[in-house]
Amino acid sequence: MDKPMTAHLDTQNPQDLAGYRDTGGYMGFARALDMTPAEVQQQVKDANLRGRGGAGFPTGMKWGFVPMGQDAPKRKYLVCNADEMEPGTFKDRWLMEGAPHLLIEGMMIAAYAIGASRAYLFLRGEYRLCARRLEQAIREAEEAGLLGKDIQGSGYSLELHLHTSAGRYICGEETALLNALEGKRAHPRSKPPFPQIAGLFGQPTIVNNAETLCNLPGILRRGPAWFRDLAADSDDAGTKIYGISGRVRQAGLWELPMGATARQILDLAGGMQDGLKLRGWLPGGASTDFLLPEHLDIPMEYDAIAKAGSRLGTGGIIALDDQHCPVGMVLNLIQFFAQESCGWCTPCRDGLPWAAEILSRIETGKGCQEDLDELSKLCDFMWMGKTFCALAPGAVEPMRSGLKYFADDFQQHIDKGCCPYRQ
Amino acid sequence: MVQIFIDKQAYEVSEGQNLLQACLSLKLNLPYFCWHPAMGSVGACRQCAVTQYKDEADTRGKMIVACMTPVEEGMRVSLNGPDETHFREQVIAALMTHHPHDCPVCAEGGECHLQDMTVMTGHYARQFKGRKTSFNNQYLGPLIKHEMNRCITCFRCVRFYRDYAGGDDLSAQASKNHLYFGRQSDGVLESEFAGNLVEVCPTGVFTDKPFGDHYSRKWDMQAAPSICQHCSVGCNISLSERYGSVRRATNRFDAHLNGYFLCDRGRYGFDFVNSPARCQQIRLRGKPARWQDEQLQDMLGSSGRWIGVGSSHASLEDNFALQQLVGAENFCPGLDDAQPALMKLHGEILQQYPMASLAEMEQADAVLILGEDINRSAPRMALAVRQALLNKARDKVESLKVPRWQDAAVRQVLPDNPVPLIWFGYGESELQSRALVQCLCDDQEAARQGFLLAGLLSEEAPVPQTGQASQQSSQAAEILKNARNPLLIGGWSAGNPALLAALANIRKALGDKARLAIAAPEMNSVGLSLLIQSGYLTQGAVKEALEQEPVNLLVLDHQSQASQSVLTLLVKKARQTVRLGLLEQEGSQDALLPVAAFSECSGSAINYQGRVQSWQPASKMTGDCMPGWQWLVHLARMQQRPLADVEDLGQLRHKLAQCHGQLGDVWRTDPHQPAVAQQPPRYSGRTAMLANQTVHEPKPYQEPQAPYRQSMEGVDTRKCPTRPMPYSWWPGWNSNQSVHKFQDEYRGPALPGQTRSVAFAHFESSCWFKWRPQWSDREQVGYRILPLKQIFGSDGLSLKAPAIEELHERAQLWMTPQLADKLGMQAGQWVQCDDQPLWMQAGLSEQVPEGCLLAYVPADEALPVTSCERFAVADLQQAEAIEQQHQGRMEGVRERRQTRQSWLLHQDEFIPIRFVEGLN
Repeated sequence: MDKPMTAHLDTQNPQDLAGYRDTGGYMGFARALDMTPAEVQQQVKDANLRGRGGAGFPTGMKWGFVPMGQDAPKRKYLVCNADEMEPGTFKDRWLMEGAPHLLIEGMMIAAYAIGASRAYLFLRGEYRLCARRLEQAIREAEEAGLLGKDIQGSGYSLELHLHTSAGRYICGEETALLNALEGKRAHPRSKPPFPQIAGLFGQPTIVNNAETLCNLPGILRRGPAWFRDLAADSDDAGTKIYGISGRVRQAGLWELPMGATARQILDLAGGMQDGLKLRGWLPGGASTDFLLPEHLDIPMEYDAIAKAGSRLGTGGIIALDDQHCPVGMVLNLIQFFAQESCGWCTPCRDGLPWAAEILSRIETGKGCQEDLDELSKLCDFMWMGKTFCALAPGAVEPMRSGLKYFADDFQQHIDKGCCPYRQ
Repeated sequence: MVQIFIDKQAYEVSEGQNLLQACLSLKLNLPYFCWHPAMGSVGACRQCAVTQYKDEADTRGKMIVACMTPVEEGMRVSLNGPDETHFREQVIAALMTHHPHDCPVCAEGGECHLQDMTVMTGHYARQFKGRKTSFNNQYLGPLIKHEMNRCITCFRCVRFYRDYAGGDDLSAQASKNHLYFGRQSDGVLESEFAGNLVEVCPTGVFTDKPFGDHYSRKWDMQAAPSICQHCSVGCNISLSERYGSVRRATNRFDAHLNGYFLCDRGRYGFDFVNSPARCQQIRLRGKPARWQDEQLQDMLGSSGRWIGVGSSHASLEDNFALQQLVGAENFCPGLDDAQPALMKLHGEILQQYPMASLAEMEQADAVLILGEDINRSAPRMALAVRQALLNKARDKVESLKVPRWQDAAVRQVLPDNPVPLIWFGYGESELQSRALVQCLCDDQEAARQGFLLAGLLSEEAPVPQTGQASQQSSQAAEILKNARNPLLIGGWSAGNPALLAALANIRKALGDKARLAIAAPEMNSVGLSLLIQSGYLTQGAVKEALEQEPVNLLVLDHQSQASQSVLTLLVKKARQTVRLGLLEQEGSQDALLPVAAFSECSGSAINYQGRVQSWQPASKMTGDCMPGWQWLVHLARMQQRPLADVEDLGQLRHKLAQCHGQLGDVWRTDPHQPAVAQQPPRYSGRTAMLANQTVHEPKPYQEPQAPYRQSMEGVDTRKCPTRPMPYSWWPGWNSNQSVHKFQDEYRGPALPGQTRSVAFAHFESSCWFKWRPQWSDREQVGYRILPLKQIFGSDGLSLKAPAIEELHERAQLWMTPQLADKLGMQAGQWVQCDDQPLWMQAGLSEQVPEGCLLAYVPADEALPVTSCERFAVADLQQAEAIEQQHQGRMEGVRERRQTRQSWLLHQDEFIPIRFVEGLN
């Protein structure tokens, strides 16, 4: 099976520039330099690459909104969103620790495709090893003349900077990320204007997830058709880094063709730990709806998962077993989101702590029947369209589906006046 | 106009606005918090959610927030459907999870936007069972009280303080539901617009501290439309009174001038009217006297020549009465040598060009400031200019198909789309720091460059024979030429008429696309410009007259030490001096007649634009006080002079309008029109408040023929929005946000027409001003001292307000670091110039022109020199003494504030009852 992103990935001794080049590294970028930016964009469009950060927006289409040509603004930016803070998601870290040059090359291709002369890598602050390795990779690329002025005599210049985030989950939201990068409070911005038109410092900006960018060297090197064929059985193209965590035998990450099923992934992890049964699972990080064991055979691709009532998200599965309290899990997640709300809009800022307060009462056996109504009202209160950004609706997803699928558990907490899993 | 459907009913609304604005303009009730008419939309609070439908067939719709949605032709929304009303109630419920139930002890209670909105959404019972968060409060200075627990996190305070007003010491801190709005540590808020937080905050986080010391509920206060007395902008304010004392000043919306905001000198400066230093009694040679005293009668009735000295702190009517009494040939407009020339020129310019209102300033796309620090001399004007600096960014977002009112987007593109600000002058200020083209120079060079700039713009413009246009002037010429709405600003601060002439020439060279504004120093400086058109006495001529013959002096109140010291000299030579005084002052006068303050009687002033604005009394006169003009009428009767036939203010104004035809019917009121009630409908205690003194209910006080009455009886202010409103209130809208019920929306696409009359209405054809050599040929001895102003300190009247006195700046002498090195001086040292007794604190700044020093002298001190050669630095002992003296003064201020407060509280029990029939 072809693993274009992770074939040479090594978290112990990642490839240096020479090693990376020996295995075909920077060939994609060289190909890109031979094309016009418009041609590069077309390649990515043809490859049907969709954003791997969670929303699944077609990457080529996103780039297409950037003003190009003579009249376009002189300053444009490419930003890599590597602020990986979604609970249960650690794919970008794996890629960056194990193959730093892959991301750097991906960023260079994307920057070239949109005509950006400056690129920022916005990295989660706690990823210190990533920072060290990326820093090293950037230095090597600079020394080799792959970054800087007039790269390889092409006339194209690019500066690439690593920025380590000061923290907070909201920085993963692309416009909040831009504010943070500008040195402002990390509040999301309202759209329009979209970052593609007025983003970082008011200039056209593309923000792509790290994994998305890591797909680019392969696409440029081997062509869109190859990329689509990687996932021949799927509606989506290419490979995806899938992961699983929770009480499985061997939590981990695997690069699989798009459309692999959760059952495959669970099998790769060796199944659930002894004596435990799978009760439910979050397909792509904490901000996706629960699915049940009956959904395990649905292909892990954007539309199929959406049809089942959840989101593919980051592809980092969190498994819930039958001996862990679902209420406790939802409470844990909601507390995380309440903690991470930026405080800008009311439903998120005051609604999430409210939900956390109710859930913690239910979990400790002090809940009452009305609390359940209140919780579902709060789900509605923080739903799509009512909040400023997607943080609160995302946070609501596990709570909403939890209330649906694990209604009995909630009821038992109230009826028994304690958590049945802690007896 | 576009047609939109709200709850299935069709409405016509103007394009370009957002749906919330449109709903409020239609007088529909839609709750909101984070949106502010002057600050645009950010969509944070989600309170104004409505449901939008695609078409008639769509019954589900989609929830949107109105403040972020532009109105569109055919748009269909519902305000009152079950989904959106439920959601809006949920928003309030969520906000209330941490809001304390302390309304009864909260100063905002009764005029709280949060209360209003809570009632509007129907939320009444608490479902949240958790604990409330609590915060520490900060000390933010003598003007503002901080109570963070009440915060509902609407972000308005920081958006106003930082984005709108340019302050940087208040910020949003922490996150989630622990957001904290405050300073990094306790301390006085630095922005001169901090007081607006009181009105910007929708609840009681920021409240008016001096008002809180002597507090009353909004519904219990009698209010009056008034005009700020502390600079020439003439912001519209509302004064509120209870138990005979004025409690506070609040912003009174005016579409052309102050809009929604005041500066802190205006908001807190009014407090001089409650000062224990107010003159209350007639005095004869320092001793209390009675009107009937023969000696006094003799003195006031004395024949012989009377010379009148007017004051730009006094009303137009008072100055006019004085001028009438003594005759124009005996009328001196002020005690400052430079002022008459500036007055004269300002008047001439006003006859040629209309002056930009603040609203017009906000529309400029290029700004030239010539030798004036409007941040200090006319702060509200500087705030308007700040808003103009966003215009290119607004155009930019519009080109990106984002509405202009989308504030966050505008600020995002601002760095790359600046409106060019050109600054010629000296001193550091907020606007100076934002200037794109800067030329550091003294007033003479600024004026010369101004003339040369006009020369670059038009070949006809006369230019000085010496000097060359600087590079900055050429840049400025390019910018101004290409601008669509250039704005030219200057003023009197430097005391140099050449600056005004230069501006007028630039204005003429640019033609009618340019707008002009000249800031005068005091509230009625321009009023005196009008009066002296038919001639006046200069200060020199007064001195000469005093030398030659025995002369009686009649002086209107003056509030600066500089004029006081001039007056002291004159008094020595005069036969006798009668002062019409507002505040006790040192120095001799033979007779003192106490005059009523602007809060106690009607009056008018002419602002920098030449517009006549009148105020109404909020309280009653006490002691022997009478309006200045009324004393003068009495004097005229004793001396049988022209004014003797005047019976009331109406007649005086009639005379004034006769003398200055263009004033026309500025003051005309319909005698059959019923008076507006100055007390709100919920005013309490009406029959009880005097019960400890008399069982009689006082007759409501009303000035003769005045259109306002200090009573609950009269027309409800809501019913006659064309007359200046004493207070703003609407059922369900108890806070100042109620103003939208009376106005079309704030500074929308089209400005409403100006309604106030211009005192200089008949515009003459414009002329070029010629450069006069004497404008730059001052003898240069040593270092030139250029005047610098401060918000708290340069205005004498507001210094008598305890809160402002506490903040006032001490005398400063600014020099370049190079000069300080040369002189062996260090920042912070105390310095004397030549033989002047005034100690000034040395400050270092690069913004000092070569060969110059910048001196700021508080209004209650004087430095009567314009240059100096020698400096004396205070030694340790002297410095300690200066510091001790200052500490003593500050202690005195605090003590006075304390005693005044207990005195005021005591007064509340014995409010003046002279208007009760049968008493007094």
